[in-house]
Amino acid sequence: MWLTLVDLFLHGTLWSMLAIGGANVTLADIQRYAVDTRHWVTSAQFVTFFSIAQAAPGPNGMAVALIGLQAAGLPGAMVSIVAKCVPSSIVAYYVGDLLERRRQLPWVAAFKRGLAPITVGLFAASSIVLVRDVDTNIESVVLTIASTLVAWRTRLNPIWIIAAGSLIGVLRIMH
Amino acid sequence: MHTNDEAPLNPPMSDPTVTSDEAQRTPRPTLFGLFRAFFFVGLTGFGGVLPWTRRMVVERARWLSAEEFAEILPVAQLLPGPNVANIATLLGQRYHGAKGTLVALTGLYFCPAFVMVGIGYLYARWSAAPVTISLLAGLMPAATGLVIATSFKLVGSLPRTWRTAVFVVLPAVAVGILQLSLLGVLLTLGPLAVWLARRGAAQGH
Repeated sequence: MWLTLVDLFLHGTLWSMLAIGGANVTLADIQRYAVDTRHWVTSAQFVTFFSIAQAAPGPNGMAVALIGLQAAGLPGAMVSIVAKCVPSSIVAYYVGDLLERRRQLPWVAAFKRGLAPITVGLFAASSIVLVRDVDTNIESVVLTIASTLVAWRTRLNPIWIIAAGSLIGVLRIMH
Repeated sequence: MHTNDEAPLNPPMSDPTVTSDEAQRTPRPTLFGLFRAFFFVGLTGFGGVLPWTRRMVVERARWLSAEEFAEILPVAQLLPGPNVANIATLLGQRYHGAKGTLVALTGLYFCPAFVMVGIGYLYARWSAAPVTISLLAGLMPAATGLVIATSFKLVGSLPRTWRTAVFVVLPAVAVGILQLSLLGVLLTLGPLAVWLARRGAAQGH
């Protein structure tokens, strides 16, 4: 139990710190570790938790709370949430000032420009993981394509896309 | 540009519109004010909290001007960790030091933590119910589409060079298909990508 909590904290911290450009870039790595290595959750649970977290209010990446809950109960969820924001905030607290004064340095610009394509590659990796586990039938594929197009081509708030998807899902069994 | 952190509420006076803007702004948020603002950001932030943070900090609470927010945002993005948590940290620190940071962060994660734990218990209880299964069968493909759309949008913002192509494809294959560890991939590709970007800038292209 204690080992699991320490593990959740260390990996939660790692994922939070490595989330360059958004929490969703760490999805494939969380899947690799939480599902394949540790067996805290199944593959199906993982994508479910991730999707639920997308639909819930609050910062992205809260799926780690659900994984923590599954792995070690309430303490696991709490540890995962703390790992998500506390270590990175301690860094921000101590180096934020410094960075604010130096943000015009060429290395800072190179850092952002250099990492930008990697962020995109990691979003693509997350997409691959999700498609592999979610789009296992033709209806899912169609819904994913529709959602992609609407989110890509319009400025509609994503919550409506999630709501529409859920509604389609519920209506389908009622008829 | 002003970087004086001790006096964040005194923007440069060269711009005449600043004075009227200044008059409308709340002087210095109380600890409770900080908590309340980030509490609402955490509560309402559907589909990404960053726009909501901006709305709260710039338009509603008026702690920062649009320009000041535009200055703090890249710093929050450059720091490791969630951008919105970094903004909460920096603003809390600016107004009330460590206590301010603690209060802002607690406000931000208070509701989402309860909501997620609540959902976790509901899921444990109801995950086998037919209505849950069909709801998730619609929700999950929709959520997947959002991530794919983010990839597409971001690709459009990148310069069309061989370097872009290499540094998009390599991490996508390494992490998404070969399932290598993210840490290893970032430690390998990250410094290389930054170095090449720096060299490219130094050579003027």
